[in-house]
Amino acid sequence: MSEELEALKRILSRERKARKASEKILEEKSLELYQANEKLKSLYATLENRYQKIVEQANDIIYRGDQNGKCIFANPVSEKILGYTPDELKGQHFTFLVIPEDQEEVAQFYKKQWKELIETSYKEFRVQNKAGEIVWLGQNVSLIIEDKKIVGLSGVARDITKQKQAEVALKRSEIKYRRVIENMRLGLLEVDTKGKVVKAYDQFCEMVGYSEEELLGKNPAEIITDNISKKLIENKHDLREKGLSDVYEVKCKRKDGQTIWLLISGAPRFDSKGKYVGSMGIHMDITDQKRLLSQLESARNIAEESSKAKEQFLAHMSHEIRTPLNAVIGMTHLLEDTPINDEQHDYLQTIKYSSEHLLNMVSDILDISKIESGEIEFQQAATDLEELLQAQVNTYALRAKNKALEVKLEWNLDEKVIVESDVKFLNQIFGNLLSNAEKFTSKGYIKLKVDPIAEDEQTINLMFKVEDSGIGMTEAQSNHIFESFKQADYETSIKYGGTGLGLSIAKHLIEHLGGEIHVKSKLNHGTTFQIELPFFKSKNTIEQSVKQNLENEISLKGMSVLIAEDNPINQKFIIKLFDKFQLEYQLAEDGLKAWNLIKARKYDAVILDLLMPEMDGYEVATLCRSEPNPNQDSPIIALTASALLDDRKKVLNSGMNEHLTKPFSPIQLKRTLAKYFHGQENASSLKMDVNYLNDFYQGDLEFEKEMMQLFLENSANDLKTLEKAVSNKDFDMIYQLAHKMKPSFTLVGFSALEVPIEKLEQYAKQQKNETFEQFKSIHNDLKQCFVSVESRLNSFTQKEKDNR
Amino acid sequence: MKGIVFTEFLEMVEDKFGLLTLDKIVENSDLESGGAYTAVGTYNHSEMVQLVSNLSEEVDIPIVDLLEIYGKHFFTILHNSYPSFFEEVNGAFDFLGSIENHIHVEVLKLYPDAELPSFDIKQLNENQLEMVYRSERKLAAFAKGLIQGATEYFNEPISIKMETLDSEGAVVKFTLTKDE
Repeated sequence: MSEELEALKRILSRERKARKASEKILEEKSLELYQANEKLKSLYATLENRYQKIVEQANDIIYRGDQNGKCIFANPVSEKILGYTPDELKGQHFTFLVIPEDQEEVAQFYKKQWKELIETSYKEFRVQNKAGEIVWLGQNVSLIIEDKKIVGLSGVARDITKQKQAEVALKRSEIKYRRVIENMRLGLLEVDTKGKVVKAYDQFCEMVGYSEEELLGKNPAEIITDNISKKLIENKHDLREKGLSDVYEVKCKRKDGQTIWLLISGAPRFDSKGKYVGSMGIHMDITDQKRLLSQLESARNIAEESSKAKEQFLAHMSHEIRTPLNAVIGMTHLLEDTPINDEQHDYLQTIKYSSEHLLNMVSDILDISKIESGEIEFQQAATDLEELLQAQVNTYALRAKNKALEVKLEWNLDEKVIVESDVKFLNQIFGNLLSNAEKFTSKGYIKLKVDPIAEDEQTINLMFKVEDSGIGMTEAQSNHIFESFKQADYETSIKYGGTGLGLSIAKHLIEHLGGEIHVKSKLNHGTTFQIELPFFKSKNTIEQSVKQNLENEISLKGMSVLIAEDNPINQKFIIKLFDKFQLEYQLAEDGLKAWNLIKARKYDAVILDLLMPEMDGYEVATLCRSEPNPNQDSPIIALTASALLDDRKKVLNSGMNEHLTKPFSPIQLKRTLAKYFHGQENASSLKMDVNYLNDFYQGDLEFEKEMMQLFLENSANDLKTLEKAVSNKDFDMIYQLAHKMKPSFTLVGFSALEVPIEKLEQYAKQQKNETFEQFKSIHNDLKQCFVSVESRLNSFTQKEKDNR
Repeated sequence: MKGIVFTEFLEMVEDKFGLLTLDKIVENSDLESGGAYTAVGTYNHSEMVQLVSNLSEEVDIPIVDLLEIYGKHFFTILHNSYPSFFEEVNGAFDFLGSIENHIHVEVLKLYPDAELPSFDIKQLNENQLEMVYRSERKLAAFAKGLIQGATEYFNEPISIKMETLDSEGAVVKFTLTKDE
């Protein structure tokens, strides 16, 4: 028993010890708890203080309500927003300021929250502040719920009046602009990123005849366009994705099958975060415009065609007029060279003057039509302006020498001015102006004055004045003088003649050169034309040609020319001139004959009329250049009665070198030919001794002709055989032929050939190698002899024709 | 180790084996606490190991069996002291599943210094639950007793399979299968 007691004592002692230990632990724990509590209290106070500040300084109204929704606390900002102090708000229901219009809705809203115990809610509504103004509030209401019962609420209300106003303004402007666009009859369509319709506005639906329901969710391209347009529209999606807008036209089909054209202005659409959400298209029905456009286009085509027809008519007319005119002027020139008496000479002058005047008129009409159709072609070349103007002035000074009229150039520039310009046009401009001045000025002066206006390294602007002391004009008259076919008045044109086109042409050309022309005039007090022209300075110096003395200095003697011309009168004129120039020529009456002659031998130049029977000039030239023949590289000169520039191009394209417009003066022809005749080094200088022939035949042309023909028939063949014998080194044959041919040369005026032929005969007989050198030295002379004989025979034939 | 484990253990020893046995195992142990335990205190777990092994020697019952028995007993203690743990619990699996995430969390609130074992719970199917015990105390037998206590409390016949996953008995897998 004592053992058990001892154990109990020990157990008790352990229990006491344990109790004390547990008491100690409890004391420590409660101290710990106390301290933790104190800490929490101070933290709570700090937080409370902090929240208090936040609440007081907040921009939003923060308030507390009791279980009935009556305000028990509100922060000071409520006075700023609502005009009521927190004290004034206390005891009021939290919805007491809501305006009557919103009351029912607001009441329903919060009734639901109360009933369903929804913890927090947000509602926007209007209240009236103390001053009677409407304030928009956005309000959060959190219910304080304990044991499934509402014990109060906390609310945060924000003044959203400005946002609401902006929203309203935005909505209004959206409505306004949508109305504007709709009223502008523009159809709006919105599609998503896949091109499917998300909104189709009324006007668009009306445009395409589909309702919005029919379009929604569909690709509009598939509904209203064909495949081509569909592709076009689909390609636009890529553009939109890149943020690009553009405008394009598309052909569409309405629901009723009618075709319409839409002008679409497409732009990408972005959401508020700037993400691409699709595109918006503004559509305008341009069907009427398209129709009008196509009508206009066809009208323009018709107009262009008729303008072309007019041009062709003019070109044709001018050809028809110029061809006989060519003959008249040509014959007049020839007649002048024959013995005529003074009276006849006067008549001739009148014919010459009238035909030249007629020619000028035709040229003017053609020019103006070309200018008006915008077909003038400028050919820039280095031009010495002073020289050009001086030449013009000289021409008119000469004309005016019978009047008491001084024509002079006043060049007020220090240096020589070389410019890049079109000589032809400059001549036409100043020629027309001077001619005009000369026409209306009977005495006094005509002055062409040139002054610099501006100049830099590359350009120079000049002021030209053509001043006369003539009859002048009224202001009314001077207003019309640049119009085509308008002279100062009808009487003027009767009295002074002219086409009334000169000034119009001048004005057009000046404007084409980038300049301006103005006129100052007073009736009976003369006229001044002021021309301002800009020029590019030339970098090239002018070729110092020998043109001034060309006519006299250049000799075309011995030049071999083939002339193809079908018109007998023109033939006559040209042949006379050729005789005068002492040319060796061959005449072909049509293109085919010309081509045969071209194939037969080489000429220094070939002149082709463009309009000929059998084969026209272009064809002959083309053949000549493309098929092997002796004249493949010979210069070809085109003769044409048409002045249209198109011809010039055609001429050059067909391989011809030059273009000579009929009627041409003898000098023009000579200049043209001279370009291609430089005197041939290898050519023979041997000439037919015409005096000998005249002496020998004593005017018996028939006999002379017979002899010549005989010579050609026999000796031409002999020459060919001789050439062959030389190349075969057949001395025997050379000897025989030389011997046979020797006497005949004297009979055709080439006695000079007898000695060298005899030499050839001797060398060949002795089989000497000098034979070949001798032949070489006289070969060209022999050929020349044949050409000359042929040419003389031709002239006989022509004479006979003429006599008939 | 929490004091309650000691106080309840000693109470059980006194109940089952008498005052003398209780005094004997305490006196024969070399205890830092001197054998004076209070439920709110915390003591080195080696004291428990000594007490259990001394008891085992004294009454000639294997340690494992003693621990299992104590576990079962301790469950009833827990149930009586902390009825809130059993509210809203449906059945043994439900309760066992809530140990880690509910009971241990609550224990740590009261005793932040408590060192608790961990349980990885996996419901294999409607009738099977897998619990992996992990503790440096290596008291899986005690845990087994607790589990048995729970199954008996919920009156669910469940067989328990126990597998030691490591060499020392610190990781043990219990597989619980409801008996049909």
